Amino acid sequence: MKLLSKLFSDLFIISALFLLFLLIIEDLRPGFVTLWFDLRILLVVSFGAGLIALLFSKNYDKI
Amino acid sequence: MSQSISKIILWSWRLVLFFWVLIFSLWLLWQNLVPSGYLKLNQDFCKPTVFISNLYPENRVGDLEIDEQGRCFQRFFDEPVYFKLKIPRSFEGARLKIYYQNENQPLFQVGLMKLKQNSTDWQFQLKPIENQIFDNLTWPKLTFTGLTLWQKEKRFETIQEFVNNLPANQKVATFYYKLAPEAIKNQNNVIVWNQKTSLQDVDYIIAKYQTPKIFGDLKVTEIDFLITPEFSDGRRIEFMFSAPEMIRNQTQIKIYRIEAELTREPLTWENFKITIKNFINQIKEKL
Repeated sequence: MKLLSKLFSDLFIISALFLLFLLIIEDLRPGFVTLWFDLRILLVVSFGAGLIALLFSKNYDKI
Repeated sequence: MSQSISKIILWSWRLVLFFWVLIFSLWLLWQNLVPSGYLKLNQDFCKPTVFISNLYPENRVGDLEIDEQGRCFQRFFDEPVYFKLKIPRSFEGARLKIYYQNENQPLFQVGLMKLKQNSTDWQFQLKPIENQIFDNLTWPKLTFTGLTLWQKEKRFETIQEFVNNLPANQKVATFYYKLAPEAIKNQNNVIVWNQKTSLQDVDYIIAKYQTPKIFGDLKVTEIDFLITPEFSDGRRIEFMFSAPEMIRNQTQIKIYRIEAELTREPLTWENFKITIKNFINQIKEKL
């Protein structure tokens, strides 16, 4: 459980940071990212990973 | 699970994530650089695409529709209407391939829009898509590399022969074609064709125009444009469909498909360095 929580928490942090980086790039040069990739996918991945990490960490705390 | 195995799994996972971010970033850069110098974009009005917009403004165009054969299209009933291409970088040439249905609109043209300097700055590089007046002519016709010559009475065997020996005492109408000034013997006998030009007063028509090809029940035309920096900022290119007197003629045109083939110099190590430098400069300017 602890490992799963860490794996998802890493995924959450990296995808959130990468999303932020892509948003900055998109702002500096519109279309650089959104012409090829839907940023909502990364938002969902990041949000989902964060949620799962939180759930696993809570279960781990209870145990 | 032992702690050392957990550590290995965790660090392997971090490595996977790091490489995923790296590979994805390099893929994005690659896509935006268009290394081959060739990019093909499609708009079939069925699947939404970020690259080619639908036709606008809304008050001159219909909604997206599907015909009985399951093909999507968008019609327009007033002109001009526009569509935009979103592009990852600048291009030097564009070849548009338009699939459409046009029952009885005599003149149908497409224009590449110049970047606006102010709100009243409307300039276009216009090209003909279809001229039904010419297509319905029964005059003898010669075609050669995008040029067409109609002769009321056949006198010339080739377009080259005509251009080099322009008749001084007969009337010539030009359409999207400019005759060399030194070839014109009598300036009064050379006119630029427009919809009001009476064909009775004309003996020859020379045009940079070819009759559209037929593709099932659709017509297809290919038009080439040269994209100089006045026409694109490297992020978008705007085009216009023009069909003069469409409202008065009570006609409408259905656009089924727009294909755009964009070309530029392929990426080399030399221009790669310049491109990256320009890109960094653009970012610095914004910051």
